[in-house]
Amino acid sequence: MHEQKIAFYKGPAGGWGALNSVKNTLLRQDIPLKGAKTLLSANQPDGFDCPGCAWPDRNHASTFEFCENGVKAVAAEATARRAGPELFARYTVSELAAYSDYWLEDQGRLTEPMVYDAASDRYQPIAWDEAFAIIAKHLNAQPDPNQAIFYTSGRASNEAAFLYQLFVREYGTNNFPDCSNMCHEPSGTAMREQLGVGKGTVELVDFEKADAIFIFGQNPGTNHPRMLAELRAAHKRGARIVSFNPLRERGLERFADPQDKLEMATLGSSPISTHYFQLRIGGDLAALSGMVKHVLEQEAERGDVLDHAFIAEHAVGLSELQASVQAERWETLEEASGLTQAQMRAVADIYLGAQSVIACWGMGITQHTHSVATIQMINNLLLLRGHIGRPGAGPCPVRGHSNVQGDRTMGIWEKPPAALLDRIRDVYGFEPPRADGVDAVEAIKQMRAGQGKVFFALGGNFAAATPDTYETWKALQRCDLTVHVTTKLNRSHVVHGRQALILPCLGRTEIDMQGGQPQGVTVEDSMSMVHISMGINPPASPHLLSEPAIVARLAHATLGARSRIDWLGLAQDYALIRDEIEKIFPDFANFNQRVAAPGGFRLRNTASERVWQTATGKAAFFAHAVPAETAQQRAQKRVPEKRVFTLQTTRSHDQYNTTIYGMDDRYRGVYGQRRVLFINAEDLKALGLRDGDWVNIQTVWDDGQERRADGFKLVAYDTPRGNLAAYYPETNPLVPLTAVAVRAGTPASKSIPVVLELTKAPAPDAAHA
Amino acid sequence: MQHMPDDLPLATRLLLTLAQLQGSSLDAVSLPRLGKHLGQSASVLMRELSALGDAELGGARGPGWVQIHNVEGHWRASLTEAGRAVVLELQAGFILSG
Repeated sequence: MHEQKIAFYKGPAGGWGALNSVKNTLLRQDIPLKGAKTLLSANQPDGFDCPGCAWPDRNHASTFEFCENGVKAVAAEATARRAGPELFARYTVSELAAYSDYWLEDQGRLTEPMVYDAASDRYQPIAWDEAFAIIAKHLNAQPDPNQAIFYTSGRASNEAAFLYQLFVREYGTNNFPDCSNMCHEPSGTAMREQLGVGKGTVELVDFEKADAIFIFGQNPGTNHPRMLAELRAAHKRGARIVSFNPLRERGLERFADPQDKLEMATLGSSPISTHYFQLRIGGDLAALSGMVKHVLEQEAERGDVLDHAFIAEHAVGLSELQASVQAERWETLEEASGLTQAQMRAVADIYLGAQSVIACWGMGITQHTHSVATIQMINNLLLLRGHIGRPGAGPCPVRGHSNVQGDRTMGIWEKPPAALLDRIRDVYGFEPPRADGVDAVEAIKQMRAGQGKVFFALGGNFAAATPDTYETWKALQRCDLTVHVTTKLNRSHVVHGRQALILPCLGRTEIDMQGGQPQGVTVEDSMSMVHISMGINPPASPHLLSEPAIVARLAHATLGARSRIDWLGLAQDYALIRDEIEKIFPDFANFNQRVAAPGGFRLRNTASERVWQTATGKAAFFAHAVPAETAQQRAQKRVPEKRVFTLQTTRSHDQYNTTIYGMDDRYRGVYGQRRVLFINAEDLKALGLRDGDWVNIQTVWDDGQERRADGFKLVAYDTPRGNLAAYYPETNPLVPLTAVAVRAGTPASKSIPVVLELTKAPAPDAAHA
Repeated sequence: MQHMPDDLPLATRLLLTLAQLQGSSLDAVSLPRLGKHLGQSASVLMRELSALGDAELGGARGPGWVQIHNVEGHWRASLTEAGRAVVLELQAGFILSG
């Protein structure tokens, strides 16, 4: 039982609160406090890479970098708890399904492969070879390989991901939905056509040189805590840090670095943002358009504002952008952004006053229907004064899961470039499929329509991470077979196909022994640094296999003599896999040699060299009008008698993606509960409701389908009127499958039109569930 | 104990160093102290100690020559009886070849 309360958080992000949280996390997982740092040797040159976020290390070659949420991720993996066969003997799957996501993961590490037995409604142990035989039988029985779907979580290493995409393409499909589809797909889509690369151009060292850092739709205090140390240092040397966020987030306000002894001893803290703009949910495109409009007006007056030499040599499309932005009325921009004209001009002046500008963004930008346009407007702003491809400047999409960027680099992509497929054909002698596969949302639709028969997930928690939860569950339940490679029990294992397998794998903290030698795997962080990760702890169970071994044995079982690839041989020595990676991807030349250096190496980023691999050979300005009508406005017309709000889904502080480590959200003052709905105090009054009342939430969408999430406690919070926020996955049932980012397909989970209805407080037991 | 050649495998150096630091008291040795003597990071040390313990790695159970304990919050390593026997053999080998 967790004590439930709402209490304003007065402290800074980080600091003693973070240390206290770490202590509690370690205690909960039965990990001794002192000496834990040794066991949690994340980000040391010979240790494992933190399985949490993709923010790079200041110095990967030296010391442990403290991060509260990294410790939570590592502690969750190093837990002393075990979810062995006895757990599955005690509970039917129906009984397990009644428990919360938090409870399921809290049972500990899975220890043996399990197969679902429909007669008893229980998972039962199965030998690995039998498990692979079942999957191979299903895969080989499909009349069309496109009836199989292969999901990838951003935790999978480069080695596992490379083998996986190679196996699946030799099997015959490009059906690779992945977690990128649900997060930074719009960043890649926007930047590839604009800059010729789908990744950010900045390195960590650029944060030391920037004199203005703009942060759009990102909450680093919870999602990338180590980023706060960079922002704090930038602030201390006088850089302007400008945050755009509908919610007032403590991590964007003040930070106490737990590694700063003086700050900790004096209970001090450092400010983060010099300027904080609470715009409307989804109002970033309008705010950016206002900034660009001001910059262009200043250029018209002074003539020396733009970097004319850069634009002449490196960019195209400025006149179209000028025409588009000139046509925008300030009143429209104010209404759409929630900022005043004066605010937009003021922040644009900060931009104009800076020599080197970095622009960061996260899910608050990408999970909207117009996210590709917003990201291109961010890059428009940077391009106007040549803030790409020079020190201290550039775009910085901040990725979530630790290897989500690396997996895409390795070819986990449902729309593979022809050059990649040609290379695979030339090296391995088979013709890979040329048709695009399905992304995450399309995969759900395909399974729901009965056209996806086998669902294989290399990590993740698809049933909880995806939108339109109950539609996703129906989709998974229509499959003939669902398979999940995983470390812990989660929702996706109890919402399953007719046949189902759970394949437990090693975690990144654990020793991966193959061929008598401990193996390392590689990962790529958010700034394209590739480094090696080697576990240090004994595996949670002797029955666990590594992800590369699972993929290799599955490929061997499925393809057999049809394949010319020595799958089992590759799994015996990961250096051999890296040799194969090098054959396909020229940027990985001398891979084994380069990754052996402490700290690894950085992959080439052409845009940071001002080499533009675009259709025109130049960087491109893109014109985007502010949407004339939003989903919220359309919804308001449908139900004029009700007040329609815009809801954004968000994480709590005790959460990483769908993994719930605890029931608190310290920085927002929420303790012991998750079914809360943040709302502006004036909106509460206008609705005749009070802080602490309970409501049901219902989506207003145009397909006639009812989507609701019931039983949320209202919490007055500092956010613009008309905006709401609540945690996912609890609110994922409200996100329609058809609400996606234009051209990227990412669920628009940050802008759901909803209405509220008052309800009674749940019974005490239900409130604690 | 005579000086160990630098080119000895880490596992051998670890066993011999652990025996030296434990001495006749057989008290367990703190990981930082062991790491300092061997010039190795905690990550490398933990991985090697795991391989020399009795955990099952890569389908084979380890030899069980060392144990890691947590004593009042501090991580410590010690040789098992089997580990001490191996050290005696190693030391005899050095004396014969040295």
